[in-house]
Amino acid sequence: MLLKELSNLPGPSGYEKVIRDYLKKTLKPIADEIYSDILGNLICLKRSSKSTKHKILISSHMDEVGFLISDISKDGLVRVRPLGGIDPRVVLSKRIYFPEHKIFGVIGNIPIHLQKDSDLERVPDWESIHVDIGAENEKDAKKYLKVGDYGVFDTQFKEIDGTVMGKAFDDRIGCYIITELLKNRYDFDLYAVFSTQEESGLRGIRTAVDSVKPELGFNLECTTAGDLPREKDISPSTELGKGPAITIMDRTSISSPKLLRYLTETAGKNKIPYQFKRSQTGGTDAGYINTYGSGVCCVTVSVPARYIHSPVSIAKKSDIAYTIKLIDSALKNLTKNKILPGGNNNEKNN
Amino acid sequence: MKKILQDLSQTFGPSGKEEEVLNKVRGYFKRAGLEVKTDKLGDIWGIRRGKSNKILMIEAHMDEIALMVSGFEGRGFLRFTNIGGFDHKIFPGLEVMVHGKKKLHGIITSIPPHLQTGDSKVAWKKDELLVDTGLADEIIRAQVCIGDYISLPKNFIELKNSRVAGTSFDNRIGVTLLCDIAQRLKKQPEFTVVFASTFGEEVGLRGGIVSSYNISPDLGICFDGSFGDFPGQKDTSTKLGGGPIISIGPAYHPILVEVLKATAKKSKIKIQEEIEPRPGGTHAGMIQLSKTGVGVAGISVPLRSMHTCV
Repeated sequence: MLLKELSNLPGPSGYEKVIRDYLKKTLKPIADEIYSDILGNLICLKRSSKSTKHKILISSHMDEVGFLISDISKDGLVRVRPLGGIDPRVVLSKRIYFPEHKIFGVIGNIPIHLQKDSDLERVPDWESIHVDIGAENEKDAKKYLKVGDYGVFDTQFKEIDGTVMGKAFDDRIGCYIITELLKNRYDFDLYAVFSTQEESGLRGIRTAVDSVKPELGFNLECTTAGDLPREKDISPSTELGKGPAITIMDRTSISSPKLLRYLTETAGKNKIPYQFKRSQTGGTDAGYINTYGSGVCCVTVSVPARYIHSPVSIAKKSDIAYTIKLIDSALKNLTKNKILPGGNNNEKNN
Repeated sequence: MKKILQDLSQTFGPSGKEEEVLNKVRGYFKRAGLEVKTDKLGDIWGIRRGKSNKILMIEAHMDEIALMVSGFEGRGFLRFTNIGGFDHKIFPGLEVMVHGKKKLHGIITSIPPHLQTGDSKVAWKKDELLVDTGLADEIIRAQVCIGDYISLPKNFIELKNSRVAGTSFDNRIGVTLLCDIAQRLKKQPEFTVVFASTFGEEVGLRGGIVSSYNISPDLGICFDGSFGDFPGQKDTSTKLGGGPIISIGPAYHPILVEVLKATAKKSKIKIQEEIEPRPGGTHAGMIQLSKTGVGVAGISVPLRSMHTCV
């Protein structure tokens, strides 16, 4: 399964080459045009089946949260800083992989026997998180790694019945969905953007959207599921197994009401379950697609996953399949439903 | 030896359910040509008869720390408790295996930064953490019972300089030494050697007590893991790569300690020393008190991040 490869491959913010190369190779046979830009975005064109030349964008980001080596200490232990938002509370006793030199490391910890009471609740800061690669000292460690090398969580993808577990679901699930959609041909030019550096501040998408200049955008994401059982825990945000989560508003974008209506109607007609994302936290590439040029109507549709930005997330295959079905149905009927700019209801556009 | 450690450390044997490890150890003891015995509670001994009836007991505990299902929380989530001493700060984001009727993958819960409301500088409390199997509640309740064990990730990674990282090296490293030495001891020794792989150390020193009662050794040597150097750790100066650690303190017979040191010097083996001023935290202290008393020595391998998964 392609999702397995996409999840296992390493590509944190700014270091997406492995993912880009893999997608390029995979999509070459089905794309009409494929190129990348200065920021490393991969842009893939699937031409219209008709002579009409509307430009529609579907986007997902290739990068995952990861690490950069910041320091190698005298005792040969390696210190890292996060690329993207990683809570230091999820890293102790986990494994990191540094792909450039194929080095494995483990994040050590002071044994419980030697901790003081005051240490028990204390969250380590990045200065006191140490990655052990087996080096004897600084000189030895520098034979294998250097400051500035990148790392990712060392997690292997698993599929159990309808559930998938793995790293980087945010947003390799989006990338996977787009690779499925690119197998189809629609009656407009479909531009797929696999963007870079989303996790470090929605950066890659800015240049990608400029080279595409789309009329309409669908951003495919993997978002926070907060459906833990305890009442007092957290806002549900989204729930696993309830279908694609449609964003109405988040930190960086407000979805086009027209597109929202269109998506929910499409879901209804095709009996596709869906949910709205009920938290406004987090920002996505949609924020920049939305405000590009004179404005682009855009909506974000996400697959819910628990524990994103941690070593391992959990998602449902049914949610992925329904998201593919929803976006495919929406794209198929886009022209017919006069959703494209230039249609009769253009004035009522937002 | 690395192969034995990998094999034993990737086998699940929490305190109270050591059978799988015991069966592995039986295989190693038999292949080394030892006479194998087990006792009622779950210890296994490999015996090499010597020329005299004097007995040297070489002991290592084979149990490991683990988690246990303590309740159902709905939506397929499980509450858990710990078997042995844990730092709960290592739990969030950990991949575990629930040993129910079937083995089920699980993840220990965490809250992504996007949804956090509380103080991110405070560790999550132990009872805030759950095991998420991603399965429907009906399936979980059919497959899992309260009291089922949960294992930590069983990865075994080769790092640089022949160093390895994995789980339960405390004390599969000791059991590995037993198996390795058993294989090397081909000639009939002057005295009888009993290799004892014992149960239940992590939950209050059980197997060492009954094993030494049954074996009645004249001398004992205990293998265990101990604290290797790590930043922020005070009072530990034993280093990875610095050689075996010889324990010093009331639990250890001073003459035996001297003999070990002299042997190391003669054979040019680097050693390190570690003091244990309060005896009784390991099996060595229990074997010492067996019957009319036994002279015991403790030899440990320095490990970093003991009682974690790496």
